[in-house]
Amino acid sequence: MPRHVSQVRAALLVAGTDLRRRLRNRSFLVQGIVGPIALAGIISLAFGGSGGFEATIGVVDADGSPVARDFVSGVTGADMGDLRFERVESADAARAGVDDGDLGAAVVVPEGFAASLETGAPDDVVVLTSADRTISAEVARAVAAGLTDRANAARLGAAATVAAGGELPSPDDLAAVELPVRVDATGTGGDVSPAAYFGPGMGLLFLFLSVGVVARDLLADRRTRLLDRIRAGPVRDGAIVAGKGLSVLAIGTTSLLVIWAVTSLALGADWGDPAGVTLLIVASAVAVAGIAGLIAAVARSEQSAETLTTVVAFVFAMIGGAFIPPGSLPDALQRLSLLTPTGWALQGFADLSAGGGDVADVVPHVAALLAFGLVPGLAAAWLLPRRLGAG
Amino acid sequence: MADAAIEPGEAAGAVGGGAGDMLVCRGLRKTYGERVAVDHVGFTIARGETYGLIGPNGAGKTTTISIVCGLLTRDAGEVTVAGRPMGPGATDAKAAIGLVPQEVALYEDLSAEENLTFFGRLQGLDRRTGAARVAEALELVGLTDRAGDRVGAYSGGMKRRTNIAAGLLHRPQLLVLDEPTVGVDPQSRNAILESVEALGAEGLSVLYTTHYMEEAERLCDRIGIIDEGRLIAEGTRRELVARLGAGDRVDVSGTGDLDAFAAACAALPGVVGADRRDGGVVVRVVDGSTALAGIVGAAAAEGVAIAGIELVEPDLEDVFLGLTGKALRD
Repeated sequence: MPRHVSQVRAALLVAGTDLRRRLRNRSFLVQGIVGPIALAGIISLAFGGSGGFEATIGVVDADGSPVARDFVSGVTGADMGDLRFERVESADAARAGVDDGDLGAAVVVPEGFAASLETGAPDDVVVLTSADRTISAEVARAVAAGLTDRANAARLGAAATVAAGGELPSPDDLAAVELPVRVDATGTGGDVSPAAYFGPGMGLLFLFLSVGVVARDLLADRRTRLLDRIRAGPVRDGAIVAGKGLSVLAIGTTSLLVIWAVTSLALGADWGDPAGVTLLIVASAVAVAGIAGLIAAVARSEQSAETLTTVVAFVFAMIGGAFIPPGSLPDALQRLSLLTPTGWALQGFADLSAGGGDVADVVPHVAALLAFGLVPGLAAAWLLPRRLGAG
Repeated sequence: MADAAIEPGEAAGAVGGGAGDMLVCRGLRKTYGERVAVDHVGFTIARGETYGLIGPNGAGKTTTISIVCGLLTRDAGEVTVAGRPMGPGATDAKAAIGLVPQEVALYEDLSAEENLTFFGRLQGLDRRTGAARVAEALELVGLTDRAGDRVGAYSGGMKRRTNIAAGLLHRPQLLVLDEPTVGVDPQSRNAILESVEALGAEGLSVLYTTHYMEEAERLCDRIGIIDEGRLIAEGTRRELVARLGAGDRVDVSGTGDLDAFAAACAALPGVVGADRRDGGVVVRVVDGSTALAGIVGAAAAEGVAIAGIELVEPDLEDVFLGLTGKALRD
């Protein structure tokens, strides 16, 4: 009498053996867990640690006028978190500070600046920068532009007054004028710490690469006829495909959960609502498993599976915003990011982390990720047994 | 060369699709685009019989056993194993088969014990029975002491033995071995052949593919010869040799115009055929002792200097040469 073998049991056996092999494989542990955490950590540090961007900008008042005084006291007195403005005594001291790295950049209001506003050729506000502190330099330029814009607006107003037959106001009067329009730089979504953003970003990139190994192994098992040995048993092809898919799902979920735990504990990242994060992690793993399955189904050889996996992983990472947040990209690329599972996942994680969202806020992201997994996954489930049986 | 593929029962001595048959294949056909890999192949294996499927590389042996094991879909034909129809989804029929692929089909990053446990459980063995069978199989192939070592760390021979053990765990009714001795050292090869002999003696039905004639001669009760996807002859070794019509073979080595010498030999009375081989001519004769004088005379007439002459009993290599006009290992 033939032994009856439950196909569910067969699928679990395939998945269990696959997982055992992955967990024993050091390169998989490096690629699936250590790699993304290390890379997320490095990128986080590059962006100023878990607290975000940090810099000290020097401000020099070489003019001594009320205009310059108000400017310096305005910026040094403002509470801007980790962005600090520090009064520096002279332009030379500011240059030395920038060169030594004590200051990220410096803004110098030159001597005679206020008086020059009444002439036809007003003096420039000087910005001292260092080539390797580009973000500080941009901040310093923006601050200097604020002062010059204000001065230019006042000069424009004065010129209009004179043209209308009025009297030219003094620089001190101009400094006292309140400009009616200001920029409100307060965000609506809060801040995402770099570790909370790049953790899942790098996790997804490496996940694609590591589960690509599963696709490659499936083809290798076919070449070495190990798959034949399994298929010669009382096991349906669907159970084998399901087992491999379960294994990838478990690997993906575990890998992202570990990255979440480590970035939270070691890098202080706050990924947001745990239920929402868990849901997004599982949905992301489903997306990766489905796409990896399709790669295994369409790849002609182990080499082509590896190449396809690498290309897909990096294209999704680049477009999806794993390296550069989509908000920093042109509109077209921002829209493109939502054509990738990485884009949906990262947007979901960002909404949870920055916006304090919960499960309800990530439902669209979860649905999109499940679609990214199920559509190619079903295609793979249909294609793979046919490819195996066709020889 | 045979004109048509043969069906079960057509060849002398063939067992034809009876209730005692473990495997029945009829009219198997498989094509890949324009290429016909298997063309109307049919044979049967009785319970307890060891059947050899021999042929050169690319003849269609592996495709045939892939169809037999339900790994490949077929374009035509039917297969039954232990009375159950076989196909890719036929789990009942598959449970009766133990496959030993030509390649070492094991996870190299798992130990032999883990590999065998996995394959045993896939075959439906429960945990306790599986553990007992694994221990038994490891004992059989002499790997009990190395059971916990990764297969990747094994020698080629140890891997091959584990490969065979994995096909036996569930005590199949039909063991299918696909060229199990390719690339194996002589000592391991002998151990594998002894294992197959022992299994056959215990009453296991065996389908054994090889392109080594001496293995087929040693192990198989009946032999099917396959070439270019067609089963061109089938029978016991004696029956196949008898098909040649030659009782003996005379191997002549020498120098000179060997083509002319072969042609002269072929024209001699009592000669079934003569073919050139490296540095000599092989002459198949009805009776070696009476043909020798004529062969020596033909050599002298053609100016061939004989370096050696040997009278041997024809083997399956000669059968294949006689049937196809080419050497098995060409």
